[in-house]
Amino acid sequence: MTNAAHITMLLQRWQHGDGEALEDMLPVVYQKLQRLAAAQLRRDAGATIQPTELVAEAYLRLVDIDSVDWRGRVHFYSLAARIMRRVLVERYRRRKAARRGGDITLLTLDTEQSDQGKSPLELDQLEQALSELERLDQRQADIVTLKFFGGLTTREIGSALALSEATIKREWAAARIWLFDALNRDDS
Amino acid sequence: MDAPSYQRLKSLLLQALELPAGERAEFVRLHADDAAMQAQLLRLLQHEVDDGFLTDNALRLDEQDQADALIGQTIGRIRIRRLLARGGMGEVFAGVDELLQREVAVKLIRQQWQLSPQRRESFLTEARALSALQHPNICQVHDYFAAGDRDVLVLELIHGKTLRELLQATNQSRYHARLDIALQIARALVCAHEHGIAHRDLKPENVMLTEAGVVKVLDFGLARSLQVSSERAIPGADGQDNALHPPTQAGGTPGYMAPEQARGEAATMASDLWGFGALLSELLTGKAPTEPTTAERSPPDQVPPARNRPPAGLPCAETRLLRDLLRTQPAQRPSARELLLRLASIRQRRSRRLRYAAVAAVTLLLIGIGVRYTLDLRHERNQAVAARAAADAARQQAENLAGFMLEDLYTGLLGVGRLDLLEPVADQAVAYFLPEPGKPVSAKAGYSAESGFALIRAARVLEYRGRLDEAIAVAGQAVDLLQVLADEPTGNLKVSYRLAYARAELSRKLSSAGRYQEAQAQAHGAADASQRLLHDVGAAASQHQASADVSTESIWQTLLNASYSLGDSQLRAGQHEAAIATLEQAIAQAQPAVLEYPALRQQLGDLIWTRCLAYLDRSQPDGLIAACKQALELDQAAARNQPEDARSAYNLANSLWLMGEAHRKTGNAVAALPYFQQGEGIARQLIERDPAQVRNKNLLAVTLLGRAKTYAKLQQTDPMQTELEAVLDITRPLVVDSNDHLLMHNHVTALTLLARLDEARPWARKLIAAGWQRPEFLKLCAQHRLLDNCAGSAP
Repeated sequence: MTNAAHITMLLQRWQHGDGEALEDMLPVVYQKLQRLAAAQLRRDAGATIQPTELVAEAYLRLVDIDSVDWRGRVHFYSLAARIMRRVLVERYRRRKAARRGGDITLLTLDTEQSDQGKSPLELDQLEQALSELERLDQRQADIVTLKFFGGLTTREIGSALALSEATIKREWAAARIWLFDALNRDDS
Repeated sequence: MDAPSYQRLKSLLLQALELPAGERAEFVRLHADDAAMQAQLLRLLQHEVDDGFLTDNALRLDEQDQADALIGQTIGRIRIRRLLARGGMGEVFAGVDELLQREVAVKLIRQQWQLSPQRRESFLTEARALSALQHPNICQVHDYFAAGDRDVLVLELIHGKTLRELLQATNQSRYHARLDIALQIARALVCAHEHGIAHRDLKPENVMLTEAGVVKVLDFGLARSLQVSSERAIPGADGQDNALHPPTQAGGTPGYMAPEQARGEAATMASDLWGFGALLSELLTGKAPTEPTTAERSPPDQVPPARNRPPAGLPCAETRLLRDLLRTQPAQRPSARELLLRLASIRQRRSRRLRYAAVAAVTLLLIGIGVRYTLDLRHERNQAVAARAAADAARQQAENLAGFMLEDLYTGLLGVGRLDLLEPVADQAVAYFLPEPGKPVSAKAGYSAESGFALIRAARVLEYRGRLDEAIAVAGQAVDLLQVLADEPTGNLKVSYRLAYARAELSRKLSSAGRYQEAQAQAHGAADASQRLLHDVGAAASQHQASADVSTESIWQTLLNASYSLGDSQLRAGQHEAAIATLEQAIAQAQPAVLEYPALRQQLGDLIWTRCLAYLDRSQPDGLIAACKQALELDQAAARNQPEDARSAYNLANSLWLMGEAHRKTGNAVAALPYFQQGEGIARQLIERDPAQVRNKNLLAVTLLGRAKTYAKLQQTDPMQTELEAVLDITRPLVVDSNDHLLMHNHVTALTLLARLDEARPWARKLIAAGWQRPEFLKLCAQHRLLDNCAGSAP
């Protein structure tokens, strides 16, 4: 089976409710995605990034486009954002593990660099909180995923989820506070 | 928590958020289902969520995380220190080459950018060629190697700003400074092109300016040879939603991308020249070239094709150059070498004269700082770097021309009585600012109120150095120049003010040269203009209009200077009654103004002093001592306040001399001697500070002469003769080349009192011919029968 056919098959399985298919796809998608993500960052330095587009591009290269029933954009975007979410969280965990593996030089980081002030977002903690939110309010979790991992604008999220922009804004505001609370609760 | 209670929580949270902050707690207390929910809601509402929380994109976060992990690590022999920039083909870090112990910039090319074997080969070829390029305006490539899964490019570390940042900052840099930046970029292009390397992405982001003002062009060739290798993504599947699929770039930077690049053709050296054109346009005018309109663009195959146009308002040569650089056909654009020549000639034309001034200023400043540099820096290399930085700084300083000596340096040196240091600079300033003969003067041609002002300042330096005729010629040119500008429709308050100022200055110089008629005409003109200006500024102020360019105080200063000059020239022309009238009127005007503008005290002092001098010329001594005492007291107070100020000291010595003269004239010769004594001490100090300054010597001569005359009155012949010899020692070497009538007057008087009448006569004749009519001189002349007709041709 060619790579593209393999991915297409996994994608179709996932679309039909097979959760594991997504897991199987990740390693294949991963590399392509990374390459595209960097290319996108370079082109758009400073401008809006559209990770969803990256994922779309990645898929378009990987899958046999005619054999996929995309079932409209909602599905496609949420798929893309979810994959992005998985990829980034995975990467974060791997790097973190490697770092804790004992590179002592990291303890003597150049102090000039610590200008960020606030502690950086811990992606794995966010993932945990987001999973909790998914259980409580799937729609809010979707909005966060589409926005934060998918890079979609409020308008795009609205059109993807068939909700008004005002609703998206309200849901987003509530979700943000709840997630912030969740992350800070974990810290303390 | 379960989903329904979360929904309840969410609903209350959102409702509470709509309320003013003060009412939320109450709302929660009233509506929460239970204590746990109430506590949770209150906690949620208390959070101040950072603006950046989840709004920054996860992808960006990921990149940052990846780069952060590299800090402190060693790649090859480079220890990574900190992140400088992100973007392009990867991150750029500052690092240290641990072997060579030098700071470097490290470009880590992301693994996804790794090249196909052919690409890599061509990239390496280019990197090799580039690393062989040694040019001060090209960022040096030190090394290139592969480490693990990354390509590592080691570059010169540049401390400075990008041209983009400079363009975005409020642009204060002068036109020729910006031309200098362009020239340096052009030099980099010539060097690279003549070694076969095109930049392919020339834009302000890729040009840096070091703290010393040196331009460094970055990323020669490299960016593009990498970029081309990136496989183009397949266009998006969803053609309906453009926001998700923005049009992809054709591999150049919009605005700096030559038409052929925009069409997707490969970038060449000619594309660099187009990019340079866009950059130059922005650099010189702040504006990008005007793009052709859609109408102009069609039909697409018209000949010649529509092209971008330079912004309006640039001089001809610049406009022509830009037009050529922005030509649509690559082959029609000039080469880098031609560009450099044309740019250099533009720069040179603008600064042909400035360069001399710059050289003089640099020399001057290097004399001042040279010693320190050789002491501080041990290594030759550091010396060279420091010298270049110093020269750059000096050049910068020299180029801030109107201000050059003329603000800081001039005032400072005037204060310490060392204006002689400015003589070479003044000469160059004259050469720079004087309009070219036959060339029309206009604001359009770059002349301004400041050009006139600089000339006046330079004329002052010349006058201080005894070059009175030149000073008059320069000041006259300044007046003419300002008159032309004032007559232009664009003439403004500032020009009018500078014109009045220049006329007052010219008047004083004419008066010194004995051209009293002209001096009075200029003084009248200056005084009338100042009165008008005071009125205009007052009217503008009462209507709350800004006349910020010119302060009321400076107009007052000019008015009083003009009055002083008028009185002074009347006095020199022997019209002491007219002079007294002029001075009395000016003093009456000045006294209330001084209360509001304390700085006018100096001008008031000059007026009062001159009034004392005028009284001295009267045959009756009525009111003389009182008038002179007033002058002396003012100058004593000023000298006490500014003990280091040469001008105050000079004024005080003058007042002391006058007071001595006044006492002698009123018959109190013994009382006169201490004033001369004290005045002599000050005059000698001033000469010690600046041995070359003529007026200080004049001051000493006149003081000694006063004392000699006092001894004569006391019939002490020996001390009188000693004093007179001392006077001649001062005047003799100076009088030969000088046109200074006061000096001649002193010289003649000393000779006459020593009974060396034959020596005195030629000078007396010269004075009479020049219209010198001071009663003191006329009396001397008549008494000693120096000439047949001591009244000369004067009325």
